[in-house]
Amino acid sequence: MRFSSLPTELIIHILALNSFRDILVCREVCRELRNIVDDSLELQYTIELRCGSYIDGSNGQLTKTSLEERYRKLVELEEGWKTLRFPIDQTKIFSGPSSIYELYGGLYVRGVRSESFLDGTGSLEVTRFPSALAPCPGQAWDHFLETSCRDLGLEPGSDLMVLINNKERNTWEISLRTLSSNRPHPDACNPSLDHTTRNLNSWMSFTISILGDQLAVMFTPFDDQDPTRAGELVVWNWKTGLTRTILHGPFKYPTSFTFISPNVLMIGEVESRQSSFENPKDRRTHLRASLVVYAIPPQDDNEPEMPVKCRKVASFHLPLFRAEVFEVQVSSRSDPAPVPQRWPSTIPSTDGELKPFYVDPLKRIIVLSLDLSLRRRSIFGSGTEHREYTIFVHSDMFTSLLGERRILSGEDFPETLLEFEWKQWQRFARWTTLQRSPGHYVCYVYGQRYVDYEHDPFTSRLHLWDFNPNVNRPSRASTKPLKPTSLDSGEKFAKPATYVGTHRDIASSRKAVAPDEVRTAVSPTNQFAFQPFVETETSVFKDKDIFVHKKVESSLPFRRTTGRASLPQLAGIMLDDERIYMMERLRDGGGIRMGVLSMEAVGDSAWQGVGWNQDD
Amino acid sequence: MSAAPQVTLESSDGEKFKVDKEVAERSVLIKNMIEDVGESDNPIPLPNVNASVLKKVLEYCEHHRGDPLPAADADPSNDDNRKRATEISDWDQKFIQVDQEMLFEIILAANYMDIKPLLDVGCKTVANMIKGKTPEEIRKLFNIVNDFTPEEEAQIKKENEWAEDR
Repeated sequence: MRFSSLPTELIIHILALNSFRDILVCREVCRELRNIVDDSLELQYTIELRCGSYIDGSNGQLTKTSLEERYRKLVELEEGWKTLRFPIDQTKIFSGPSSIYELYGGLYVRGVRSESFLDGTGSLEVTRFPSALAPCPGQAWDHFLETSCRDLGLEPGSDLMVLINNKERNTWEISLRTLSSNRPHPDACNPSLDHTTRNLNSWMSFTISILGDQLAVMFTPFDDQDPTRAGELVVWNWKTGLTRTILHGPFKYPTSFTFISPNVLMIGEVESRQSSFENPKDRRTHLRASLVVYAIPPQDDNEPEMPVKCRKVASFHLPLFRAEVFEVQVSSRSDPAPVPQRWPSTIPSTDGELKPFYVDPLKRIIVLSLDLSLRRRSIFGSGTEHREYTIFVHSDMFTSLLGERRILSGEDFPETLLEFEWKQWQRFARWTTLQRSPGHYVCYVYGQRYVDYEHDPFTSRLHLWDFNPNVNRPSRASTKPLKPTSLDSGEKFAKPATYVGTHRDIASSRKAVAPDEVRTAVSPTNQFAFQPFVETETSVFKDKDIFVHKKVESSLPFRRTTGRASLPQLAGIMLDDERIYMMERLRDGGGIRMGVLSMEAVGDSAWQGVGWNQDD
Repeated sequence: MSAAPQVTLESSDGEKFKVDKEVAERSVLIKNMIEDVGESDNPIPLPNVNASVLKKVLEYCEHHRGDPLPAADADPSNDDNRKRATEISDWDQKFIQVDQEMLFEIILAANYMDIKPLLDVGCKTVANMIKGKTPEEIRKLFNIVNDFTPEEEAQIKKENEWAEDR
């Protein structure tokens, strides 16, 4: 009895348990194994999933979407992201002034104030985008709002929308309503939660995150004159209405938090410290920014209604700043919530079912926005200067430095605070001088992808950054098509064309990509020219004005695809797992025009339900 | 003395094993056979499993006799279920420390007798043996002859180049 005499289906089952690398290595062993790997739809799908950091949502059971269809869609989607060759390009005008909007799980919700601004009423416009994977076309509907709404959060998989309203001074009402019908949510014991912040300010900024049963809201006061300025983070179980934990922070506006797993979250914090790093006589105060990781312990079974205390478990320090740097603000963003992604329950027949495949909740890129103010002295006198940086941090850092996934799964917490200096975690980070695009508030990151945009009168550029560690994977178009004849994956993708784009330097060292990686993408309306650029080398960032250390290295690999097009000045750019959204502000408060670039072929008819048109 | 109901299993080489019905029914194949045929004193023939393998399989069934049956529609979003998919318990690990020949026989028997948890343990063990190895190490491990021409080998290496560990 030998390995090769096992029946093929058992060999496939065994190989499918391993990483995509191990599966590919088996192709090199002998002809028989190569043929098994190449001919097996299951193995090809597994390679595609693991390489792209996706998780299959079917749990091995064949659901409405067959293996074959899932494989084809996944290849198509990944190919779309890789080449930014948009099969479809749609626009819609949303009229009327809006102060709040949210995009989540393929739904876009926009709050529109009524004519009489002061009465606080208005409406919510809900748009559900069509998806090639969803068994239903797009749709749009409106809800009337009786009270004013300061911010909103969405969880389409649970048909939930969370509206925050200022009841009085520092008391906030958090309404849990259904997205489909704007009624009190039936799964919530108490569909209207109250919270009174310590800070008396009513000018607050909110960050809302919903993870399964968990709802987290961070309240941070706006007002710079307020000496307390401290924000707080509250986590509820929105179904029971019980408070899980409250974290009072030194957090200041603008700040935010990022859940890394349902039990672990991260907040960018800044502290002052004395340093004698370079010069023992230097007694000045230096600022140090850190990513502080908090764990939420499980609730005490005997007192489930008692909030638990968050525990600080780890601190990842950024390089120490020079004493001239007198103000540092760190905010972070990462999407989606680290829980399996479900279909919006407003899609008939799915009722919040898992998607056929979804982005691995623990594989994500965290985007840190760093705002620095420093004092400068020169022969012309002294002054202050403002600097902006964007730092990308891969969540692999938490899984590999915090002891596998034990801390992240909430099973284990270290006794003492784990501390990591920049040089210990720089390989998971990429320090860039990238500045935030205009209107860069929400949804510019999803999973391991990040989108940004540059505008100037002659040309505009759209950059898609992909931090999937497998940056070097060749395009599917250049690999051998899969044997089963029912799949025409080899035919679907256009042959590479010549390169016509340019890109602007951001990182320090670069690597050319193979010619077959360079391609032109032509969407129905815009001549987008793309050049992918892969960076796997360490970049060295030197700025003696801000760092105590002479240089700051970072080496997280990434792939950036740049598109050039004649686009207007955008008010915002967003993305999710299937699309890129571009928002252009119309004149005279006339609302916005939203352009959607979809990474998969969604039939035209699917868009009709949302009142959208093929761009003209 | 009222003992637990027992059944007799007969291996391909004619050896008979008398075991508790509860133990034998870890095998879905046997469970269905008993349901179809009804209680009987006749031995149940297992023409695809020899005595030494059957003995080993029954050792597994005996140890896991009280385990809850695996849920058919376990939610993959549940952390416990995910973990279960990658871990092998200590007892199982010891149990499966056998030579390759026996390991593959157990996998085949578990597949034939429809004992999913045992099949999983066997497959995971083989998968772990392959994990992280080079093609040459895998050939050595399973005594496989490299039947590629040098050109073919170079071609596949080229196709796989991007995935090599950095």
